[in-house]
Amino acid sequence: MTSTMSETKIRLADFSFRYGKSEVLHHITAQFPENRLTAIIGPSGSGKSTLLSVFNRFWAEIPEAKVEGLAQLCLAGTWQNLCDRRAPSQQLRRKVGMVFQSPNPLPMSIFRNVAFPLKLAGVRDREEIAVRVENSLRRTLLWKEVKERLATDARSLSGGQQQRLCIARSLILEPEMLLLDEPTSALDREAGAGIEELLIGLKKECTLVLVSHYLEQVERLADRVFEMSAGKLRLLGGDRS
Amino acid sequence: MSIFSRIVERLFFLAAAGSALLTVAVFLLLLYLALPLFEQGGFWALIRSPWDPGAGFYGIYPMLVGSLSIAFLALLIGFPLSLGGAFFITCFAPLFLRRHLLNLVRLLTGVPTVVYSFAALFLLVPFLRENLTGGSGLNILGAALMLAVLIAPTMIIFFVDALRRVPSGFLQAVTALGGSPAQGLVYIALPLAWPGILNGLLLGLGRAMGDTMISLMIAGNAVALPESMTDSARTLTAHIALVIAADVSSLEFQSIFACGILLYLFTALLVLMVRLLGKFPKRSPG
Repeated sequence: MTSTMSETKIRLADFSFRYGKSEVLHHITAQFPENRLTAIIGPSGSGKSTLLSVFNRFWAEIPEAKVEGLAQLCLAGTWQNLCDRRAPSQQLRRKVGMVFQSPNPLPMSIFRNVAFPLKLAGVRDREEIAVRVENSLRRTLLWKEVKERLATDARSLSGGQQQRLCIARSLILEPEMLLLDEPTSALDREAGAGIEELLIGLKKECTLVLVSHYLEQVERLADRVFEMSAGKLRLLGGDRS
Repeated sequence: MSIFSRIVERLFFLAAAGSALLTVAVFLLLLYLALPLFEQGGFWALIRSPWDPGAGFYGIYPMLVGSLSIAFLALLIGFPLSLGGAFFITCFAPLFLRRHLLNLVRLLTGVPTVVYSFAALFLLVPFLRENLTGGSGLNILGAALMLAVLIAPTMIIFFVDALRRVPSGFLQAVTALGGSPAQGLVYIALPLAWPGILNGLLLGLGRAMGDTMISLMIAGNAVALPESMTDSARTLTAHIALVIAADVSSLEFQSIFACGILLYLFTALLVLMVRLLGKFPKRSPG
């Protein structure tokens, strides 16, 4: 199916999510614009992260999870069905990066961490890998800080650096979309500000969906804001896009 | 520290020291009992000579070769089987099935070896005799196949445990980056879990080397030096079981103590290796 709504990246219509017998998300209808930062705010346990897990079909890894309704993502002009558990998800996940609440660098060097998605995607050309790692680290403003110690363990970096490394790792595959699940909540104020600055730069080239607890942060960054409450999604006023 | 705590501490110390002393005492007793054989030509001569009581040779070289051949062949067959089983249980099996499969594997570790031996005697041995090896069907291959089945559950439990210790966040990151479960396993889980996997492997080898019943019933017990997998062989443990009924003052009887010493040293070496492995730094994946 070809996209007829080039401005829309994700569309949900009467979408519900069940975990076992309990319904976690109820009849959601919403659209997420392309190349904008859309924020989802709401209290803990309201279903924000669950909704995020739909966008990269991560929900399909949970056997008890069931979805109903329509959830589609536009990748390279083609609408992908996010409700199809059996659809191959690896290509989709390479184009929909995910950054978790706590930085999760893999137990390997800084260079190998950033290059790891290329290894998963079967890229073997060493020169190409080196160039793309450097580009990715530059985009996340990390290159100057780590270029002399690319071979050291990524876990030796500070929390903020680790989170930027994880974003660099996601960006190396040049995703069309980046999902950010409270990416600054485990960081101090300064490191959080660094991530925010990075996100402002990124939203020109990539669709961002940010789950956040901080209203001030959402006001600073978001073009569109949704509020999630008890599994129901509501568009808040002031669509800046 | 209260008097009660002191007494308990002392009791635990005595229990630990007693166990350690007992282990050393067993070794010294074996050495003492095997002394007449060593006087015949030394320990090395004993493990290098053939078994021919008629000619006055009580060497245990054929048994040593039999034991090592059967144990290593069992490991060669059992290791990939166990690793595959562990991968399936941890990564690829449907979630509801994983727990049941692991319980089944745990149950298999408790099955007496004589049951395995009977199953092999009535099913495997005739099959080998008629389709593969000819002869009596009692040979190294049959014993190794059955031993592989015997040691696989122990190894699977160790491998699963090692793989499950890998932090789930790492594997979650691989999935989120578009990696398959197999890639997560090969690139992340295996490099992190290899000390545990090697531990399981060594303990599997120890179990294969120390088993008596399967080699006694399936390997054929020939005292000649085996030349191929289809030859019959006698293991050190089977030799002990067979010769124990001989005259206690005979050199033939005393050979079982030399077998005991070899098995003891082999087990000690494996335990030492397991201990050393725990001290190695973990390899970085990727």
